[in-house]
Amino acid sequence: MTSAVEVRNVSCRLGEQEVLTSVNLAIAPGELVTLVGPSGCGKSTLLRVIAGLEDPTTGTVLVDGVDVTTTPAEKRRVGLVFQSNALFGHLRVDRNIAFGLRHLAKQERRERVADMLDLVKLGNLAHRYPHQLSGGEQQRIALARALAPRPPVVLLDEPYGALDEVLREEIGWEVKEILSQRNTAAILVTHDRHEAMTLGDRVAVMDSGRILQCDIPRTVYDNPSARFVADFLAVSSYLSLPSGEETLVRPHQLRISAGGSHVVSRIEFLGATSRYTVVMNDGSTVVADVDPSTPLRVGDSCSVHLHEKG
Amino acid sequence: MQRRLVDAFSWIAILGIVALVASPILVLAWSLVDPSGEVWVELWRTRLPGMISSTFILLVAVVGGSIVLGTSLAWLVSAFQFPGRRLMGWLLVVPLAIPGYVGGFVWLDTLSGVVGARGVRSLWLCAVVLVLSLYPYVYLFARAAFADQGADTLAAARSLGMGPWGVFFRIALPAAQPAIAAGAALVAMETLTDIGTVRLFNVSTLADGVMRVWFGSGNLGAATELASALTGAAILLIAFERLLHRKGRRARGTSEKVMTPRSLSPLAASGVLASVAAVLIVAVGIPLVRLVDWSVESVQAGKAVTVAGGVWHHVGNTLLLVVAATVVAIVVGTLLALLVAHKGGVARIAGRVSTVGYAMPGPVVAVGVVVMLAALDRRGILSSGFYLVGSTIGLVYALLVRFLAVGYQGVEASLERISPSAIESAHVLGAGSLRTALSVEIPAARFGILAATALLAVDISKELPITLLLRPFGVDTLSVWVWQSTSESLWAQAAVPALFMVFIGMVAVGLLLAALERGAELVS
Amino acid sequence: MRKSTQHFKLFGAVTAVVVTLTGLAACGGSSDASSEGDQSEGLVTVYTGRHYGIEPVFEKFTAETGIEVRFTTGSDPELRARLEAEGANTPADLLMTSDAANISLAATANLLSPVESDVLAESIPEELRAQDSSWFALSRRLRVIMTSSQRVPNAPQTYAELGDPQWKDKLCLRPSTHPYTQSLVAGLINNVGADEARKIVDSWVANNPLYINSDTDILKAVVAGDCDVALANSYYLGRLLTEDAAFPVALTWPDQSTSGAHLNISAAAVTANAPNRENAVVLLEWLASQGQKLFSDANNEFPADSRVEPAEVLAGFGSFKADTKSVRDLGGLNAQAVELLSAARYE
Repeated sequence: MTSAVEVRNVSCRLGEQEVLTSVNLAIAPGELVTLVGPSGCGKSTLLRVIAGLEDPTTGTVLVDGVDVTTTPAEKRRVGLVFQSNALFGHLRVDRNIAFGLRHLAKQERRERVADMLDLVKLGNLAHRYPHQLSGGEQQRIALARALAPRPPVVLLDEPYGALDEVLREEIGWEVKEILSQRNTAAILVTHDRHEAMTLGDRVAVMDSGRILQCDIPRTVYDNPSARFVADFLAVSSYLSLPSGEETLVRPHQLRISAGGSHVVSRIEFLGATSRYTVVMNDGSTVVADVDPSTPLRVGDSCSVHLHEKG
Repeated sequence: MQRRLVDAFSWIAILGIVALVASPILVLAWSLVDPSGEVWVELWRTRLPGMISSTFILLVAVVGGSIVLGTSLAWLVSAFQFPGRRLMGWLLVVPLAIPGYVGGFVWLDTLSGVVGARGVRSLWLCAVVLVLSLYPYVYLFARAAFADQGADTLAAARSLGMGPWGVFFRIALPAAQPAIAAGAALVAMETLTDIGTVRLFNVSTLADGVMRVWFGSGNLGAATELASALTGAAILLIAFERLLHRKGRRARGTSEKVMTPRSLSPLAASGVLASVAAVLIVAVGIPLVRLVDWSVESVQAGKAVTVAGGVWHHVGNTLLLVVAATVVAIVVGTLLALLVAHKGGVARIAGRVSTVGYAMPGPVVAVGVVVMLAALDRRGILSSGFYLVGSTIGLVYALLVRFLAVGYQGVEASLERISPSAIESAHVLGAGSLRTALSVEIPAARFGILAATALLAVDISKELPITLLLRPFGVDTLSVWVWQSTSESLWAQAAVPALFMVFIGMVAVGLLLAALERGAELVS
Repeated sequence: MRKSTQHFKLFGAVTAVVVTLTGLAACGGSSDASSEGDQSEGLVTVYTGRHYGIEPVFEKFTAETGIEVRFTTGSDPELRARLEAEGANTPADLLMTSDAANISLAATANLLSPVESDVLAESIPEELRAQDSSWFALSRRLRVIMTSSQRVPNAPQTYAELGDPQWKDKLCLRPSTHPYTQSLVAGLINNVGADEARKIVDSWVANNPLYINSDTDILKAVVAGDCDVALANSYYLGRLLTEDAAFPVALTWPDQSTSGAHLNISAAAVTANAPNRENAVVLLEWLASQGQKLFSDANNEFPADSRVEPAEVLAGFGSFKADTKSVRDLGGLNAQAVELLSAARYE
C-alpha cells in the first residue's frame, strides 16, 4: 500500500547547523504518528520540510506516493495546524474553513464547510470571528480548515499546547476519531509523552535531528531502542542484575516491602497507586508504583522486588 | 469624598492639556460666530467648486498612490531576502526627511526638463510628486504591521493552496489594513494641508484657498471658515480611519513567531532588488543628486549664504529647537495618552480634540497661536516685560499645538496594546498609577514612544510657518534659511540648508527604524 | 480607595509637569526681561517682509549710528497679523514690507504712526508715501513686459496688448495668489476702471497663459521657449543680467503713452506702539537718505528718491514713465483686485 506521506533519507541544514540527519518515516493512510522529543530536536523542522516550508538539503518527500520534494507548499496538499491556531483574524469562521476550497463550485464549497463544522461540532459558530471563540473552539476550527481540502496528511504542531489539560485530553480523542473517520494520515508533534502514547498509533522519538525509534506505543515503552528513548517516554529505573547487566524496569514492574537495605526517600500519591522513590544501597534510585495501602513512610528501610514482566 | 476630588483632578488635567493645545484654534473659530456670508457666496460662484473637486481628486490620487507604493515596498522588504535589504529598507524612508517645499521645487524643476514648463503644471504630476514624498508614512506603518504578522498564519495559508500573491492579497494585506489606513490618514492630512507643493504645480486646493482668501482679501474670518471646512474633512477622515482601526483584530497569536523574510532564487531576488532600487532612484536618488548639485553650484558661486549667521548657527538652532519641542511634545503626548487610557470613554474624545492642530494648514495655526499668546501678553499674565510672542516658550508651545497629535496618537496606540491584566497585576502588587505608568505602561510602550519621538523630530525639523512667525530674534533655523531663498525663487541657494535638513531627518528616521525593528507599532 | 490614591498620584505627576513648565517660563521671563520690550538706548527692532540682502544694510546703519538693529523676517501678511495681535506690547519699531498693499493694509489697521520729518519729506516723492505720512516707499520696482529677444521682434507695448490672440499659448504670468499680480490688477482698476480692467484680465486668461509662481522661472521659461511674452518685475531681469550679460530677454516699459508702467514699492513705517520710536525714525530717515542706494541696490530696485543713482544694470534699461499716482491706492483696491481675478478665473 502506498504511504500517505513518506520521508526518505531527509537531511536539512539551517544556516550552520544540521537540524535533520537522514530521517526516514512512512505513514499509512489513516494512521496517526505522534512525534516527541526535547525542544530543538528537529520535530518542527521535519513538519516544515514535509509541508514544503523548508527545503531539505538531501532526501525525498513523497505525498501519496508522488515525489513533492521540489513542489511549493501551496501545491502539496498537506494540512497544517499550529499551536497558535493561525486562524485568519479578519475572516469569519466559515470563510476560514472555505479558504482552501477555492477550486470547488460554490454549492459544493458551502456543503463542505457545513460538513466540516458538523465534524468538529461547531455548526453554530459559522458566522463568528476567531477572536470571539474560546481556545478549544479555535483549535477545532483550525483542524476543520486544514481537513476541508481533504489532504492525504495533516501535520499538527503542538496544537493543544496552549489548552488546559482536561480540554487537551478531550480534544485529543476527538481529533483522533475525526482523523480516522476521514482516513487521514497525521503527524502530531507534542511534548506531552502521555499524549504521545495514548493518541499515537505509533510513536516516533526524536533527538538531535534523528528519529531514534518509531513503533507502536507498547513496544517503544517496553523495548526502547536506546536509553534516551526509555528515559524520555516514561519514568525509568535501572536495576543491576546478579549477572552484572543493567535492566530497564518501569514503576509498575517493582514491588517493595518493609525491611531491607534500601530507604524510602519520597512518596507521591497518584490515586490508584502511590509512587515510591527508593534510594538503593548502592546509591542509585528506583521508582515503584505500589498499592497506596503499603504501610511504609519516608525514611523507612525497605527491600525492592522485580515483578514478573507482563 | 477624596475619590471624587481626585477624579475631578484627573479630568481637570485632561481638559487642561486639551484646552492648552486647542485654544489657539478655538480663538480663530470664534470668527464663525459672525460668518462672512458674502465672501462665501462669491467663493461658491467662482473658485470653491473647483477647489473642492481638485482637492478631492488630489486626495484620492495621492492617498491611493501612497497606499499602493508604500504597501508593496513594505511587503517586498518584509517578506523577501535580497541583497541590501536592510539598507534599502532604511533609504526608502528618506523622502520623509525632505520637506515638501524643497521636494516640490526639485521635482518641478526636474520634471520641467522632461515635459516642459507647461506640461509639468498638472494635478496628476503634482499627485505623483506628493506620492513620492508621502508614501513613506504608509510604508512605515505597513512595515510595522507586516513585521507583526504571524509566520504560522502565512504558512497555514500556503498549505491551503495559496501562492505568494494570494498570501499577500488575501492574508497579509487584510491583516495590515488598519495600520495601512493609519499611514494613509497621515498622508491625507499632509495632502490636505499642503500649500508649498500644490502652489508650485498650480493646483488650487482648499488649503491654497485658505491662504488666498486670507492674504489676498485680508479676510481672516472667511479664511478661518474655509480652514474649518478643511478641518471638518480631516476629522471625517480620522473618524473613518478609527473605524477601520476598531474593526482590526490582532492577527498574530501570542505564542506565534513573527514572519521572517524568505530567501529567493537569484533571479527572483534580483527582480525584487531591481524594483526596490528603481523606486529608490526616483524617490531618493534624483532629489538628493539635484540638491547636492545645486549645493555645489551655490557654494562655488559663494552664494551659500544666509541673512543671519553661518551654517552652524542654523544647524545649532534647528537642533536645539527640534530637541526642545520634541521633548515637550512627547512628554505632554505621553501624559495625555496615559490619562486618557486611565479614564477611557469621553476622555478619548477629548484626546481627539487635542489633535486638531495637525489638521490645519501651518500658517493658520501660527496666526492662531500669535493671536492667543498676544492676548495673554496684553493681560500681563507673566512678569512685566516678558512676552510669550517671540519667546522660545511661545515657539515651543506653538509647535506643541501643531504636532501634539503625532506624539499623542503614537503613544496611545502602543498603550492600547498593553494587556489590561499587566496593569491590573501591577495595581494588585500595590503600585499606584504613577508607578504603574513608570514601571509598566511606559516601558511596555517604549518603542511606540520612541517611534513617535522620531516622527516628531522629523516633522519639527521641517516645520516652517510657525518657526518663521514665532521664533525669537536671532533664532534662525534651517527651514527659515530655505524660506529666505525659496521665497526669492533662488532654488540653488536653498539646497545647502535643505541638505542639512535631510541629514537631520535621516538621523531621526534611522532612530525610528531602529525602534520599529525592536517591535514598535505605529498607529496614527 | 486604592483607585483614588492612584489617580491622586498621577494627578501629582501632572501638577509636577505643569509646575516645571511654569518654572521654565518664569526663568525664561527673568532672563529675557531686560531685552524684551524694554526701551533700550541703542536698539531698533524691525519686522521685515523684505529680506533679500537686508543684513549688510542694517550692519552699515549700525556702523554709522551705533544703533543696534534686531530684526525678524517673515511674510508680509503674517508679520502684519503678529503686529496687530501684539498691540501695545509689540517689540517692533519699524515695519518693512515688500509691497504697497501690505503697508497700506497695516496703516488701515492703525498699526502705523505718522512721522513728520524733513529728511523724509525731501527725499521721498509725495506719491510714494502715505497721505498722512504713516508710511514711506524706500525703493521702486516695475512690473514690465518681458519678451524673448530672439523670437519676438515687435514686443507688445501695453498690458492690454498681452491679451492679443497672437500670444495665445505664448504668455507667462504669475498666479493670482501672489501680491505682484494682485497689485498689478489693482493698478489697472485704478487707471482704467474695474470694467475695463476685467476685460484686460479676461483677454489674458483667454490666451491660456502659463502660470508660474516665480519671476525668475518666468524669465527662464521665456528663454526655454515655453512662452514668448511675460510679465515680471524689473529687478529679476537685473539679477539675471548681472549673472549673464547675454541673457536673451528684452524688457519693454508698458503703457508709456498712458498711465505708465505698474509701479510697486518696498516700504517702511514706524509702528504705532514702537518702544524705540526715536531710533526707528533715525533708521527710517537713514534708509531714505544715506542708505537709499545700498538698500535699493541690494535687490536691484530703483531708489525711491529719483535723485539717487540706480544700480548700473538698471540704468541700462533706459528711462521710462512709471505709474506713481496709483501707489497709494493699491492697498485699498487689493481686495477688489483679488475678487476680479477670481471672477475671471485667473489661476
